[in-house]
Amino acid sequence: MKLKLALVIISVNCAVCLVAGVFVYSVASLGGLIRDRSREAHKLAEKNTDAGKKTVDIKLDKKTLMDREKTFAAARTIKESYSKVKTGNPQVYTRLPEREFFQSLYNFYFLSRLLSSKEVMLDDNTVEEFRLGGTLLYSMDKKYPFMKKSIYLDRSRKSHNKPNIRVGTNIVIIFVESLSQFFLRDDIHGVKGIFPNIKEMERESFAFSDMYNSSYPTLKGLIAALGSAIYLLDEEVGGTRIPVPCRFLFLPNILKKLDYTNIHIQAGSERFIGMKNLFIEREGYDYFYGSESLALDNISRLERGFGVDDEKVFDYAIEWLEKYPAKRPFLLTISTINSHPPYKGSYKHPDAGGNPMINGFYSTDKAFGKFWNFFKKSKFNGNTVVILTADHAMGNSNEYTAFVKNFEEHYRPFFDNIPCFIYFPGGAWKGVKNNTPCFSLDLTPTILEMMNLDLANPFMGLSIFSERPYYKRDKSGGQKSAGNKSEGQKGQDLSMKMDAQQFEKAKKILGFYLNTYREDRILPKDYKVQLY
Amino acid sequence: MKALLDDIKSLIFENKKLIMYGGALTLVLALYFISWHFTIITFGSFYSVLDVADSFLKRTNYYLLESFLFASIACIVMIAVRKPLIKRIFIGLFLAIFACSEIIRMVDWGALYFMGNHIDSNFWAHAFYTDGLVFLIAKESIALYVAVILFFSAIFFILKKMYLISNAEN
Repeated sequence: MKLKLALVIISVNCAVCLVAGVFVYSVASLGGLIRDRSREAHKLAEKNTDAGKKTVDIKLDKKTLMDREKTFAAARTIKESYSKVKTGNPQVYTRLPEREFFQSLYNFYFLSRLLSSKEVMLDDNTVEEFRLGGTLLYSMDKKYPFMKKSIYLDRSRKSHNKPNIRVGTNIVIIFVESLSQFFLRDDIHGVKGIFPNIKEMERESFAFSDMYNSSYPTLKGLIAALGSAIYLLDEEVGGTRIPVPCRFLFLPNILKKLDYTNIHIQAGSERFIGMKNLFIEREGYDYFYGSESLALDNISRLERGFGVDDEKVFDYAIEWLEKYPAKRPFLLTISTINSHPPYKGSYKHPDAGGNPMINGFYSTDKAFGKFWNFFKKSKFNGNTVVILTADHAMGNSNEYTAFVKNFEEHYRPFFDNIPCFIYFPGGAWKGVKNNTPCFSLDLTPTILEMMNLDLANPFMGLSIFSERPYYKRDKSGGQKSAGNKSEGQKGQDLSMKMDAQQFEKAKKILGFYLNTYREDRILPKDYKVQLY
Repeated sequence: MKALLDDIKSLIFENKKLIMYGGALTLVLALYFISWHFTIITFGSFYSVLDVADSFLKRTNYYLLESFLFASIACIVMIAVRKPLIKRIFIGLFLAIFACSEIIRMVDWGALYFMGNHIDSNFWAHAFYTDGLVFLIAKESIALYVAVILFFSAIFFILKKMYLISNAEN
């Protein structure tokens, strides 16, 4: 009897499922049919009314904001555009939530820790090779291998032939997205006038003429320049990007001790890989403004790339400087975005030849020009150092490949020479070039040296004036000694030939780096900035 | 054959309430699973269900099968098990698993709606020390809580009714 009842219940449940299934299928089919019809009608209407514009680009200018109805209409369009950007792949909405939950939980709390649970120590030979390459390991502490007592490996090398930055001088560092030195070489590529403003700044500045980027992409590039650290951890664990799990010693951490206000303005998102948290909570920044803060009147353009337009970024920087009470010195870092694929070309360069990358650079330069003109006339001109460099070299985008196709010897995607111009107050050291082959990793130790500051640190870079000449980079960008292979690529050839022993060694070195990030062993937890 | 049909007829007639609640359980579970995707696509994205019709229908099939299995297991336990205590334990377990699923789905729905992605490593990295869960106190989240309570109440009500009916019959 019970078996019969069970069978009946199973049959009824089955029938319920079938009915529900038929209902869903019918609704979907009907919906599809209606949609097809309405699409056809819409197409016809478009033809008749010439309303075929697909891009949504609205501006929340003053005029719109003053009209309530128009503002609401604009806000609706913004939301629509934003949701387009947020979720590029509609299939995410049909994934199983429970699976996403447990998988991410496992990846974040278990898998990622399992991969780095062992403390990796390097053997004496490798440590010696690192030392010969300019990286001192285990000199202070076994747990924090990069910690060393000074920015100098040998203090007797301390150079006096260098510009000085008085403590209390404001510092502005501008990281131009993907600006390989090659793009500034119009004598090679022949497209004149892409960077009139950056070139003007170059003429009025001191320059490191042979700097190579140490890392790629942007976040790693900023960590290299501001924290003098190679960050190699792959952000992808189980298909999702993880925030940086460790703390570095950033320039703002040090300047904070000297009563500086530290501010970062960037065109990209504040939340991306937990950047705002990293900068504010761990790296000494007081303020962090990304696209979310700057976006109100630019959000509709998000579909054309990440973040807001560089013009908005520099406008914001100008606004911030104008309002700054100037009671305390400041460090302002700015990160641009227009030259990031898919590129934002608010201005069209006449000789771009339809290449949006050139328009992106040209637009960044225009935006920078506005800032530069403001700066030169402002009260900050006499007490501010402005550094312009790149976050990293250009990647292998199609636009870059197309642009450089006739100059193949200059095609160096991801790792290449990048500019580094330093404008000193009043134009001091104008036109002087330092040709030492160096890395973006060296920027922070070099700034500290120019400020005559020294402290215990975990920096992987060296001062360009005093130390880098002793640990030269080879022509391809890599370190001459066997230590940090990761600091540059071997020419344009990314392939590597290794025997089993070399492979094991490379694995061990990589494991060592990853382990230090995972276990947060770059900077001791109780580390406090103590300047000598 | 006729005898068998009569037998089934009388069986249905005698147990119509239990059968009805079994069907209702299947339907509520299917609605719970499918409406999650339908609502997030409709309210939380720029897309329409028709844009993802293929994968949505595949997911629907999966959920229908899942609802059928869960509901049938619950019904069979109610019929086959005599001891009320074991039935209560089963109901408790069923509700606990359902509540877990609801909480996961609530948070994941919020993560998708407010942050544009499922719960991922980024979410965990921010969840408990900054603004990772802030959406749970947003006004819009009231709808999530209401949905959670409604579905939980419905399942609880159906299981309770099935429990009472099966106990009375035993």
